[in-house]
Amino acid sequence: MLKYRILIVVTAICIYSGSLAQGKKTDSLKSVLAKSAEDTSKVNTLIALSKALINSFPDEGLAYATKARDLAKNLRFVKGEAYAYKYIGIYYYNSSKNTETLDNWLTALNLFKSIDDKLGISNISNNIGALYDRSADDAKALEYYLQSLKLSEELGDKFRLATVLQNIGNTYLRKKATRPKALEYLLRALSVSKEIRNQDLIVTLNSNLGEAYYTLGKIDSALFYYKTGLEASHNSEEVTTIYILNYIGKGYAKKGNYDLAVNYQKQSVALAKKLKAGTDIGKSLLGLGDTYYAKGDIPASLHAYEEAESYLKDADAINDLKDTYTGLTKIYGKLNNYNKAFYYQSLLSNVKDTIYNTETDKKLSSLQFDFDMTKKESQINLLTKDKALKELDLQKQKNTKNAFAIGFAVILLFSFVTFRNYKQKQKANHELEQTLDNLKSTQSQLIHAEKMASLGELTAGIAHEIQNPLNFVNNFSEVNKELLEEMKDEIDKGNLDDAKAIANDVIDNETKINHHGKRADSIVKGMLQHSRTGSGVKEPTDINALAEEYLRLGFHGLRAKDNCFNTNMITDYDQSVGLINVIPQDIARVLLNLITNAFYAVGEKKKEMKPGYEPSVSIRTKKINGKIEIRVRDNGNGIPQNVMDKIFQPFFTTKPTGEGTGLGLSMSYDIITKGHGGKLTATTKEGEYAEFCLILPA
Amino acid sequence: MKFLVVDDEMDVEALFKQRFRKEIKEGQVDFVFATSGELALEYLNENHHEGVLILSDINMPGMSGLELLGKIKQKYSAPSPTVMMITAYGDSENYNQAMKLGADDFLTKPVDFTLLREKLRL
Repeated sequence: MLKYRILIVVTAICIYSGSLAQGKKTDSLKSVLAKSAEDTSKVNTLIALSKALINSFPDEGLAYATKARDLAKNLRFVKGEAYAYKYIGIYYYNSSKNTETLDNWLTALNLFKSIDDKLGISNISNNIGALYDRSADDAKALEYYLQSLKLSEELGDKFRLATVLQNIGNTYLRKKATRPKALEYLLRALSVSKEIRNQDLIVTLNSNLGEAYYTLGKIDSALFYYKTGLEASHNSEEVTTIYILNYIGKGYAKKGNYDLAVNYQKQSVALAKKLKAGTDIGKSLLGLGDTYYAKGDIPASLHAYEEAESYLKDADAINDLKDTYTGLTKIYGKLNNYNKAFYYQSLLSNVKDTIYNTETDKKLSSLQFDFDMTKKESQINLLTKDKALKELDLQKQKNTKNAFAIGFAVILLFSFVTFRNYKQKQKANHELEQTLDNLKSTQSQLIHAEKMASLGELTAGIAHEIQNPLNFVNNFSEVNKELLEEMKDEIDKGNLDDAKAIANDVIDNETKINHHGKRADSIVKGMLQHSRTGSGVKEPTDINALAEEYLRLGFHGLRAKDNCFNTNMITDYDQSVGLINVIPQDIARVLLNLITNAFYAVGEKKKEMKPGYEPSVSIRTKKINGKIEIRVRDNGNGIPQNVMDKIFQPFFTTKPTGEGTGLGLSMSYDIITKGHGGKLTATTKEGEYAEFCLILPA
Repeated sequence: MKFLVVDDEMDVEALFKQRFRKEIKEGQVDFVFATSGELALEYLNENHHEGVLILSDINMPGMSGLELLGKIKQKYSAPSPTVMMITAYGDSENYNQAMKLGADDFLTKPVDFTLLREKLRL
């Protein structure tokens, strides 16, 4: 989908580079060039040549544009110079050099502005917008698009108007919150394109609208626009048609009409093959595979995925490859061919790594872009100052007397400006620092809030857990008092054997009192540790005891809130685990989090009242190869596949608003991986179970 | 008088036996203990439920005290055995629910045995 969108942007940029009969046109232009003198018409010819060649023969196109620029500069032919910069920019845009592109286009924009050439300004603003769009700087992209929009409205340039509206629409489409706005712009673009009867635009806009509705989950509307787009294209054999056919198929598959879906996607594959569009063949086959899978036709799905894999591999289309491997892993798992399933699972994780790295690279290059921009701005500032000083010099030579006064005034003004700039920067710096401080304190507040939220889940359980030992402490101590009175009587009577028997009872009771007193103590200590902020210290800890304690606390905590809640609890502690070096309150927080999640999951499933369902939560510890493994498992509804990647992300929660902070698992993940050098992983089967496995170095 | 005490805490047995040691010695009362709701129901099924007074905790793993209460009051009618709830949760919600299910009395932990004796008229 991404590739498709960029494609549109490029077409919008290179509007004037018509491709029909290009060869003939360039030949005739070259012969004109040979005859022309060094004047503005030669500049125009050079620009026309560059325009014709920049996409197909970039180096040649660049050479003509550079010549045009130099000549235009000599002739002081501003408009020609501006267009030359535009095409030089297009060369860099096509070779993905954002900084160089921006340099040239900004120069072009300034030149157009200096001669108030509205057509040029609107044209180049749209291009700059597209550049920012590609670097994912939506705000800047919109700023330039909107400038271009205003001018094209003023000029009545309907074609430009339609493309700018389309670009704005596609930018808004990227973010969920602005999608309704995207629809508004795309619809406006569509009506303008209809006015000017531009068939290409009508097709791409219908397809954009289809995509917009598809991402909004409005499948019927999506299908309507995709089909309109298909009709408008008259089934022309183009890449866009492949995409549309595939997505009509996806739409029908979503609606459960698999036969129709297969029909469209087969057409899509056939067209892609005919056009030898490698990546698109793969994408369409992937779509077909998904449809077959949803339909339950496993052999056909397997076949489609396998074919898709070979095309996508060749094209290095990693995002689609990821989906293909996911499909293949699922299928081989279903077919009980675990060797193959494992093979694809490992390919899948490789691809995921690559995607992650690519995204990091992208972020890095966008940061680099920002950095270069700031550097450029400061250089421009320096240049302007330089110029001002030089002008000052000239003035001095002409009129020494006045010059001194003016010079002084200018310097005074200059230093005032510099001083003000400095002050403003200082202020900005200060504001940045404050924002940073605010962010830091918000972060610690969030962590604290999560701790308090989990503490809240504990309080009721803690109250219960303290009342129970207290019950024994109070009552056994009273009993002992009575027993000692009796013992005195027996001693007085001289029944020493009876007195001894009573003494033994007293001793037994004292042991019990001591045991329950310590129990209450450890609960209170645990609670204090749980709420304490700041870093804990690693100490030898009995993991089994910790797990048991928090299983009880979690259970009673939930029971206190919902006294109908019930579940089987299975524990299996490996006694050879022994003491391991961890920060006890942190590990306790992780265990409590996993346990309360497990209880929540079985509770939710119980509410569905399925007959024969027995909620069950288990904790198992095991020592394997010198590492400690703790597994918390529940037989709830499991974790849906589509959120598996997100469960460890901060603020991700499936609980209704207000019930979860969405920080529990992400904090747990940090505690285990960063704090203890361990691992936290999840496995699940939808509708059957979820299991979290925590591995700690011993 | 026979008492069935239901609580998942093991030491409850020792506590009741010592607290009522005089009454037990004199043959006034007889105690049976169950560590879960399930075991308590098993006992009631196998033995005559008449003349048994049940003292039950609420918060136990597996069947809760309130579930046990509901089941007893539903299964054994005319006359149903007396059931007294003993819980660490003294909140009104637990109290109301226990009363709605037909509990005969409601005590909170730590247990005041003087009060319990009075209630049991011992």
